Amino acid sequence: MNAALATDDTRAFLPVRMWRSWCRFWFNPADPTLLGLVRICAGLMVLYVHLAYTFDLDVLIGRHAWLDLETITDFRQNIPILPPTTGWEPPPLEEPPLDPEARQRWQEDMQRWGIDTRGACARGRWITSIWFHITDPGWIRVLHGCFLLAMVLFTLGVATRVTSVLTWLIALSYIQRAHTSLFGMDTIMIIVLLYLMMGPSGAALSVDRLVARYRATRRALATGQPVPVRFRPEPSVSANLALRLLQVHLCIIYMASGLSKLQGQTWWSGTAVWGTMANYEFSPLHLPFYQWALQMISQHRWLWEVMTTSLTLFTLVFEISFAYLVWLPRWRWLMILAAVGLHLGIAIFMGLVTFSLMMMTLLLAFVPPEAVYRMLRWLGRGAEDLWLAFRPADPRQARAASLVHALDVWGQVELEAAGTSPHLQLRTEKGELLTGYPLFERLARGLRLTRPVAWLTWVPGVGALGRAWYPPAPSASGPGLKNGRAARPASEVSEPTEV
Amino acid sequence: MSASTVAARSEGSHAAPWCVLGAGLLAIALAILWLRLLGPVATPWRALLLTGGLLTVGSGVALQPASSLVLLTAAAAAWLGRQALEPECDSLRLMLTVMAVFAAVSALLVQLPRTARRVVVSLVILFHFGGILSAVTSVPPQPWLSLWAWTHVYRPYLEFMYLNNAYHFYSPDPGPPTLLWAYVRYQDGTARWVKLPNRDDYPLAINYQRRLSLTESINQLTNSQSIPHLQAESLKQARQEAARDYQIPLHPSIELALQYRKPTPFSERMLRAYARHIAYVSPHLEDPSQQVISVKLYRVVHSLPAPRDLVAGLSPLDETSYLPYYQGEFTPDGTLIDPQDPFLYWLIPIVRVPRSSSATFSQTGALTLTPANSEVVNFLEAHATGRRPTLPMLGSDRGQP
Repeated sequence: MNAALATDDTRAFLPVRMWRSWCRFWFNPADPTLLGLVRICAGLMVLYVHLAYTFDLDVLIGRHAWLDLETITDFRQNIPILPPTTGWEPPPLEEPPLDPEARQRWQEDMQRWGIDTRGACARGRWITSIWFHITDPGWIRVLHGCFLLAMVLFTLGVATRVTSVLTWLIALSYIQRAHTSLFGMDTIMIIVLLYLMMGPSGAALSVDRLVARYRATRRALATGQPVPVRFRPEPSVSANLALRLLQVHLCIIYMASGLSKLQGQTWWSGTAVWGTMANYEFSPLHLPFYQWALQMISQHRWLWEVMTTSLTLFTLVFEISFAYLVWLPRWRWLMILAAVGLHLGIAIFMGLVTFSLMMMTLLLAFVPPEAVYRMLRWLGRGAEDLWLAFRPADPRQARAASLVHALDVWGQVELEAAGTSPHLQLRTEKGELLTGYPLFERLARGLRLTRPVAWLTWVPGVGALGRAWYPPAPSASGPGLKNGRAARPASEVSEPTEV
Repeated sequence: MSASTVAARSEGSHAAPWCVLGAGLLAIALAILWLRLLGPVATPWRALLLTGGLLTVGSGVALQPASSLVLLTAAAAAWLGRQALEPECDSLRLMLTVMAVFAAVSALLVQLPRTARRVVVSLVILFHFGGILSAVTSVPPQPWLSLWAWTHVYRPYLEFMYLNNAYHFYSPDPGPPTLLWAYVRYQDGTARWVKLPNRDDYPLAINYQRRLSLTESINQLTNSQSIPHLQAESLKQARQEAARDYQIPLHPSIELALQYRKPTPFSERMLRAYARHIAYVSPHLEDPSQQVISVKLYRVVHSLPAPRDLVAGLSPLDETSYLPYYQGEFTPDGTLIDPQDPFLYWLIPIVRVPRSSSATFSQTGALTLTPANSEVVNFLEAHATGRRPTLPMLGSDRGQP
């Protein structure tokens, strides 16, 4: 198909070729796994940022905040917007109104906004926030807690189509209310959330995905179809669209940032980076070691000049060239690494850790999906193999088997649907046969996905409760057995191998 | 068991979501009736009902997002939701309006054949990035076309979505940070300094960084050259007279034009708001019943140390590295007490003077002064407290510009 398309493309008119290239760029289906990874990273960052708001609720979004409700309401409802003049001469100065009331209003306006607002083409700002209308400290805290919960659900990928929209709206609410306390991190955060909302960010690496796997397995078992062994999320056009939007926007950010710096003298003279490294309020200059290091570098002019000029030049060259070079396969990883280096430097030398992490989250959009899968395979390395025997005709066993299969994202458990036992049975690599609570315990500890929560099974008392509630099958207990573990028959015990 | 690879079905194709949509619409309708019949009574519970209804409708859309009928129903639900809000909740009504429009447009979009759909989406992409570019190029000196497009076309979209940033990070040049120092006076005659930001005051770095953004919002300054010549001369004369009367001279080593920096109207509004906030959150430390009677604000520029300063062993926290500009004295409700104050928007010097010298004060700016051969004179303390500064012995015109 590609060869035929290539042949068609070379023969087609230029606009047609351009349209096809455009469609290939924006509308080819893409694997949403990378988007899922971006969602997790962004979700963790968003959660942290809004957890931090917990300490500042009253001073940033309350009625008597730094930017109090009265001022922000005046701005969003009344700020005048002056249009650019359409002629070559500045607009003529108008005489003050003759009517006393109008004149007083005009003078108040002049004092408030510093300009003659009679030439305004519009008033107010198109911003929305729940915090413009909720000012009771108690309700602010209640809502804030609910919003944090929504962000947790978004990060985990629960009902992502809804929680992604909620998270974006929630983040927007804080941003639009606490206008004067924002910095670059907020700008990038809202961009990432916008595009995650537009794409299927919950189609992979999410609880939604686990639910989809569970349902697919249940369906297969119910209809007698083969259980899906390994299944990747369906590629989708919207996933590609979201990733492309992230990529193009990042290119614009770097380009704008780099080109705008060319207006500055210190960027040309190679000393701009000193303005960030020696900025006491941002950099680690309050740390004795850092101050000593800067002092030591400053004592050797050559060293100082080489350091500042090279870092300044690196910043400029990287930011201006990123938008072009990142699209070339040979240069992509170099640009990604350079970006990581730049943002590590910003995090360390300018203290802007959250901004840097958010930029790196945006940068993930350029990581090839294969790299994500390699990372996932690496995370699953060395996982033990298990075998789960169950009776498909038994609905409870079928549900349990489906659940295990859904959680088994690294393919550790082989389902054996031909079992006849009234109980689920789990066989390990060592030949142990487990039922009841020991089965559950082993699965929780053995499956890679459940390992982070498997520590619960080590809590004193949990095991005893588990065994009482879900006892091992009686047939698994016998001479030589302990706690539901059956010894393998002597004939199956392998002889030690002589090396 | 099969070893074949099977693609999982996507999460969107499920049974009809009409029960879910119906439940959501019912909740929204109840919220509307509540407002119409009972008025603004038990508003939190009505808000909960409305929110629950909208979330339920959203869940219904999530179940079948590719159905134009579902999307139209969601659009109707969002539009109806506006009716369940009081007119004062204008920004929330705006949000619901945007959601309704978006759902309606999506409903049309899913009905289009594939090529037409791609064309429409492509136009939306171009519109979106056109808006981003208009924001990027909106910083002066900007193209007239960009400014026109931003003002007349993109402003509502960019403001609503918070996509209005120009991404001009650290440009044209990285500058020194801006701090906010407030001198808070109480009824009993006592006073204290409130200095923002202080790293040690915040549990997390991000809270500290947000304070740095707060202080930057008062750092938007008018162009000194835009002040009419006569007015500039009048300001300078008033300042020089105040220097004689109050013994607070002009800074000896900073160019006169840079010692007067008037904030923009936006920064002036921020200063008033910050004065109100500081008065609200700064109780008397020993006797909370003592009311705040005024707040003096200073916009403080913390100069960046030059390499030679570090080599000379000068601390980055040296007092003379702070350049405080007086922003006015405010009442607790944020009213500027004296707009004609001769020190208003002027730099109040914190300088080194030689321990003993025949040089006049104004000549000390040309001397090379180190901690070893000089002492710090903090005119800021004198200005804030209203006390006369104590100057070391200098030449005959000490304190004179």
